[in-house]
Amino acid sequence: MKPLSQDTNSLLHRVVETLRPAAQPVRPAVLRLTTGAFTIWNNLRRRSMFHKLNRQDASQFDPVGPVRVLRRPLPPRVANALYDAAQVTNIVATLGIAHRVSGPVNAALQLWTLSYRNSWGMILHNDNMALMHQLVLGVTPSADALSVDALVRDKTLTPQRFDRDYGGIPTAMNIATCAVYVISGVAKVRSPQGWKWATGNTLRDQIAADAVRKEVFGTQAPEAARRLYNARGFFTMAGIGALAIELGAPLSIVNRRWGQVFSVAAWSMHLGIRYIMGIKFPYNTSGVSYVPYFPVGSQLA
Amino acid sequence: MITPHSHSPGTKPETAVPVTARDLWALAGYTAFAGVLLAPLRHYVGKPKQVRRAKFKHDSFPLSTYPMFSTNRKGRIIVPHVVGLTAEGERILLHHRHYGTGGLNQVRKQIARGVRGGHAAAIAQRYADSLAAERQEGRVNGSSAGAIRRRREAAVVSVLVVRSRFIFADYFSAGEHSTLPKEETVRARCVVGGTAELVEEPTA
Repeated sequence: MKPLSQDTNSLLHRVVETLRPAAQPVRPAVLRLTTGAFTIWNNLRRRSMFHKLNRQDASQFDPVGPVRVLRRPLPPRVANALYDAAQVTNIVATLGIAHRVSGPVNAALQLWTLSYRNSWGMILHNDNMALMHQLVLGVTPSADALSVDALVRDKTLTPQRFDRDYGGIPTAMNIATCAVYVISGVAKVRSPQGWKWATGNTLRDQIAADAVRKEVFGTQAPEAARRLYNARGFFTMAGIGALAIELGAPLSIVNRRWGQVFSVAAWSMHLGIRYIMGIKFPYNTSGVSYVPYFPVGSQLA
Repeated sequence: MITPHSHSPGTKPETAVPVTARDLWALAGYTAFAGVLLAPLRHYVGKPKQVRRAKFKHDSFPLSTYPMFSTNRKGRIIVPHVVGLTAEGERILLHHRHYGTGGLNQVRKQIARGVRGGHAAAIAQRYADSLAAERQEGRVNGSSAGAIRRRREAAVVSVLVVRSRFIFADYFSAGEHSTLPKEETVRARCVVGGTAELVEEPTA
């Protein structure tokens, strides 16, 4: 393809070098394996819950996203079959078998089954990021290394070539990560408290509300929620920190080092939420969601 | 995949990779992708009252408004839920699994919607039936979380669907841990093994 710019100091060249460095296929391949392995585990451990949900009364059905094409729930057998098919394609796509087909098919099935899971009256927010990452990995050349496809085509798991398409995949995944945090941050500063959200009062009340709900529904609230409720200074620090992480997320895309600082801060925030509220964001607390900020394999400068 | 500007095989080429039209298309793709993902931000434009409504009304999946942590609760909360009563009148907080699957928050939402929609008796019936079924099954021995819960709930003779108002400052005050609400309205009751009835009466 005809070069547009040979000037390595031009703004365009620097932007492209930051967002799409020419990298080796092993870079997105590691992301395919980590996100794939995580989602295989995370979905299979919830299989019986998904199947039970699919048997719920139609009156509870409140479709979201692509599931809005349905006016009533699918027969449980069909919904279960789609869920199970999604798990099979996830394994196939993660192994990198016929990824040009299995990747997009898996992306579509994951989108459907997770949207279907959220179509029963309660929208949860802990699968969004992993799903976005799977969509990116499914429709991009993320299986050109460390895959069955690579073994068949190149006779090696680690083909030695460089391409900007490989370096651009982590960027697309990080854009998805940032979008989640930025919207969460805007939700807070556009709440009735506005920028005063940073004082931590809303956060403190939310943690209290969550603890009350857990207890009245017969489960145990984390001890930390009760212990920390009267520590106003702590919530102010946490409020400022949360806003800084969420609204500052876009900076993580423009500089690799900032991205790594952001990912450590965001990971710590999720560990704090886990400890104080008992709310699990497993994709985040596992650290897998931040792997794209730590690219592997060499790239051309 | 070997693209026209791929460098294959082996070692790093000595010259920098030039920018091509393909890269411009990719940048446009990133921008479009970010635009789609950030589209829910449109629900945060407008007057505070509009935003308060829109962020919940338009929350969806996978494009979410992520409204969690943004409600101003002013130190209190009202929760529709279900309590069990023993023959001695002791209150037992019943597990959400008696109602359904999908986790606490899923059940909480479904119960809140049911109570709002006037279906409190059906909720009470479901809890009472679940307790009766568990009693028949037994399985109260052992140290698993389920067995401990079933032992605690074994003495429940009736269930109440209630709408409780909690004040955080009271709930989390120092001293003995109490889970009693500040105010409560009973919406339905059902004897375990019996038939539910709708009621409307304050209890505290």
